[in-house]
Amino acid sequence: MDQVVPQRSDLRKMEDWLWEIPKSFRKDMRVPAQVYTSEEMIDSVLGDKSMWQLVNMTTLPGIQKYALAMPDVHQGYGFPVGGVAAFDIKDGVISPGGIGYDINCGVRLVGTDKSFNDVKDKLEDLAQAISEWVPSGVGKGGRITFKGSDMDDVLKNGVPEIVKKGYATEDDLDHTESGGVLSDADPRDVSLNAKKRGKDQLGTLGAGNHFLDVCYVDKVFDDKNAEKMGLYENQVVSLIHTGSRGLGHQIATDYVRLHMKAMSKYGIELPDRELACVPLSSEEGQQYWRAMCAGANFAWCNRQFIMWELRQAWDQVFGGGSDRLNLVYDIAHNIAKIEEYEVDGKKKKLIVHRKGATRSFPGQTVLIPGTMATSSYVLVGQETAMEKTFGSTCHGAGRSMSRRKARMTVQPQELLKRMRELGIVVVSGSTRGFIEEAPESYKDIHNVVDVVDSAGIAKKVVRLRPVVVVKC
Amino acid sequence: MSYKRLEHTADVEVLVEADSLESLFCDSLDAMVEIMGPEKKGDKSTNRTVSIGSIDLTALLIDFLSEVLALSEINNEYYEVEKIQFMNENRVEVVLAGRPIETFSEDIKAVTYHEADVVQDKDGKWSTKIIFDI
Repeated sequence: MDQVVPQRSDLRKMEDWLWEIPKSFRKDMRVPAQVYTSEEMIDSVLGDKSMWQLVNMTTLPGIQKYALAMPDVHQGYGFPVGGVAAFDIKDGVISPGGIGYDINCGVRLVGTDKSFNDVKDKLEDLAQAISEWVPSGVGKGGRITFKGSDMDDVLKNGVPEIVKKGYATEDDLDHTESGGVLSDADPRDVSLNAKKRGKDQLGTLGAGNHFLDVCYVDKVFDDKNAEKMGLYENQVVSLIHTGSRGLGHQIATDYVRLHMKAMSKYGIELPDRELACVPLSSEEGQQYWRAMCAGANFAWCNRQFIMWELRQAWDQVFGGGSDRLNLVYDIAHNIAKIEEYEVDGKKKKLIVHRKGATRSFPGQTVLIPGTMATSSYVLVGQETAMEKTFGSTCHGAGRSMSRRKARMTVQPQELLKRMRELGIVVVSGSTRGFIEEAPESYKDIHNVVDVVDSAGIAKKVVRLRPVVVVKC
Repeated sequence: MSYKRLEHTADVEVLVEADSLESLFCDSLDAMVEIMGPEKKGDKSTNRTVSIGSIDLTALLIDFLSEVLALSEINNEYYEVEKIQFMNENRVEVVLAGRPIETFSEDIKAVTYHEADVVQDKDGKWSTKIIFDI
């Protein structure tokens, strides 16, 4: 594997917030690589292998225009986290590693009708109730178990399936990306092992960087769009971050393996096996597409069930009123979507891979969670994103410190004290998980969001401040 | 067990070294189990056989670990190698000893092929890097 990592001198500044690694950097590049960042953050972007992974993305067959990295980019495997690439649906590929193992990992923002003053004396009770209602941690099963064809129904029909069972409303569907269902899903393309891994995981957060936060709106940047989204200053809201759990992990595992075996049949050679891909139009490509859609449907249902559990916790603490918890928006940040863009003056259908990147369509709500002790942002998508970034923007703050280093440098008691001083109540089942997610493990969320705002691919609407953090 | 952790921004990367190919498979599994951090629940052991076929040795190791990872989550067990019944470049058949767990302390989502490369040096020592998606 050619591991020449791009240096600062290999990056050419194109615009104030945009740098490019030209096609001439490596002979197997089919298109240039572009990164949205700032002068302040560019050294951290070059501090790990993410730019090498970005260059590897440019070698995939059928890639259009450029491979993109968002300002929260960091080293992953295959694609870097924060990577976006689009492929022609006729002669381009689909790559499970370009979507990631946690298919449709995403974020959901829930609005409430309470202001911070209404809840500030009940934060401990709320944190406790949420941690009792929402299972988190490794191997923690949920309260929803499948019978008969239940699993296949969820995989096939997504959130509309659970509207019938009272876990979601029609209004929830209107505020979920793609209405909470990708209609090409086919449970028959999902392995038995994947279904077994997911059998008791609906309504569970999982571990790692997944969380449920209660926050309040501490700053409004754009009154008009805030009002449109139903958000206002001091309003209490909740952010839910999780994905398709073991079911999605196994779908990706199964298909990276299948595609790696099948690549030679299509004459595809790559610098990294984790980029394993096949033509979208091939049998193996279509199988993965249908399985990925099923995994995405499972993830939307997972976040929907967690919202239902949040409602139960809310009622327990406030004695009712959970019917006034509304879904502001639910967005995916590990997914592939078929979308239309202009390429060389012609409209083309492309399959856009977003791995740690969020859709940013004009007028659409964009959710960018920060760290447990800083801020999160709600933005609105812009037309510029359609022109420049295949309708995409960043998905979070982006890690900058390894988990091991975090464990060596962060003291749990000191972090807990710091959180208390900030007025944040924490419930975490794992000290290790808690310190690995310390705010200093991440880039500065304000700097990251400023890049996409200044570049015009998404604009700030409100800022959220956390007051309760529930995680594994 | 002979492995060391390498720096990786978001996930867990290890370098595993062993004197034989069989040991590389055993040590890689032990490394994965140590990262998962099983909270053990009794000593009852259940034998399970896994049989994997792959395109080459590197893929074989990663596919073997992926299969064991899936079994761990499905059966709520952690595993060690009881016996390697058969192994060549493209196929391995292993008897695993599985023991029950309360939980794992780390959620490994997947075992990746990224940067994995099973090689033997001039002294006969085997090694590979492995990145676990956390």
